[in-house]
Amino acid sequence: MKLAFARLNQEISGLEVELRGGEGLLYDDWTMRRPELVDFTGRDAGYRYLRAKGNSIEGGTSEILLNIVAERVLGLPAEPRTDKDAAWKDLAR
Amino acid sequence: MSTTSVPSAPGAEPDLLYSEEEEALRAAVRDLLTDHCDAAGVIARTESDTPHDLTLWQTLADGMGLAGLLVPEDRGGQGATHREAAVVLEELGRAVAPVPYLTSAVVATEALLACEGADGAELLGRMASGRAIGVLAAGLHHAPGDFGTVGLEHGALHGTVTGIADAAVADVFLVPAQDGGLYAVDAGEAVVTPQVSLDLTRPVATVTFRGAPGRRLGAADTAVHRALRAGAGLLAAEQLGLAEWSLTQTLRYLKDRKQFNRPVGGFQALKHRLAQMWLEVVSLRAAARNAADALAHDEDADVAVAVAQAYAAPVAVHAAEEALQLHGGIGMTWEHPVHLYLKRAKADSIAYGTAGAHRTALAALVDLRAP
Repeated sequence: MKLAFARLNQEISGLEVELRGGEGLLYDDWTMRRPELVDFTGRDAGYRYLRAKGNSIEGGTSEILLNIVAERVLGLPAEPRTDKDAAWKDLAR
Repeated sequence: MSTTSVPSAPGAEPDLLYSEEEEALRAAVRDLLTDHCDAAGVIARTESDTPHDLTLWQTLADGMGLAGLLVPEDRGGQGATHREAAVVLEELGRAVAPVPYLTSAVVATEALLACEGADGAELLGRMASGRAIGVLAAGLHHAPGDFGTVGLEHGALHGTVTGIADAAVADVFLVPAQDGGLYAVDAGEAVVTPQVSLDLTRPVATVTFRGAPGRRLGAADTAVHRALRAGAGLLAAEQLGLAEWSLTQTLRYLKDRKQFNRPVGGFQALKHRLAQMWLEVVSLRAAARNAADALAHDEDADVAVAVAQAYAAPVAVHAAEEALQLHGGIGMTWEHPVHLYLKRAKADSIAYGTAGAHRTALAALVDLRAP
């Protein structure tokens, strides 16, 4: 669900900005403030476009979710891992 | 600096490579931008009331003589071509530099080059030497062949135009009027109201004329068409710069960033995406280079510009979007510059006509009719 949502939301919000033409060059409000909720419908297209970019990162990136689908749903083998039996202090980072 | 190049003979194959002089020009502009246009500084400017960097502009325009690249030497410029201007724009795109190069040194300059007469010549000379910033009073979203006009009564202009990029720093507006003429209006005679812009590095504004005195420069339709065509064609060079930055930075990050005890760039899922980005960027280079070369020789320029714009916008936007995603959480922060590139790329996808508008234009140019 989240994979499909992120992709759809990004495509739709991107198309909306482009379809608006001259209006798509505008933004509603750049004032910095702590967000209390994700106000998707109460803001303009520019905000929706930029905010939707977070959808494929927050709460598990789409790449990690695809790995979960591939490995747990489809039963494909996992990537070879070199970090499982190593102490954290010995890992490349 | 001398940037004069000898155009190849008409009818020759398009030259998509960069000459030694063009590479030297690139190096000079890149050095300047590395020293005077860092991302943190650009972000800080976007938070201020003066997003444009006019000190940098003066150095580029006057110090390096780049504002007059498209202007022949006998009209006060450097006598170079669109090929050199495109190299400058690639570098300005790589740095999302907040300077009015595309709007003044390309679009407004091209409009004036289409005009005869003393008023236009005087203004062209001032713009070419960086003493004035000229801005065409047509919304940034207009594709070549599409623009609005303002009213004209007893030689004075009346009306409002919106979405005018870089209007905040304009000294002179070039205004298409309802009588078919293009008029020069001093910025002091117009009311400029900033609009809140998606791309804070190329902000747009509303410009209102209330009985503003204008000096007639020439016919608007030919001048504006020439201006917007050059703007669209050379915008592709800027988009190439944006895409190239996105690729380079993402590549660097994915080689450096380690997860699961290895660089994340080693995972095929990401490696293939970067390879795909590279393929798109090199194809965009060919399309953008072809448009600059065609404009320089005025040969099949309409087709070359439409092809470049049909291709450039999706590539630049995709590159910036991939850069954001592949940087993960850090890419969503205000402090990381990727948002500047995403916003510029998205605004550029509308500027001088969307990819769709250019595809429509291209279909007509190559005689493809809708069924």
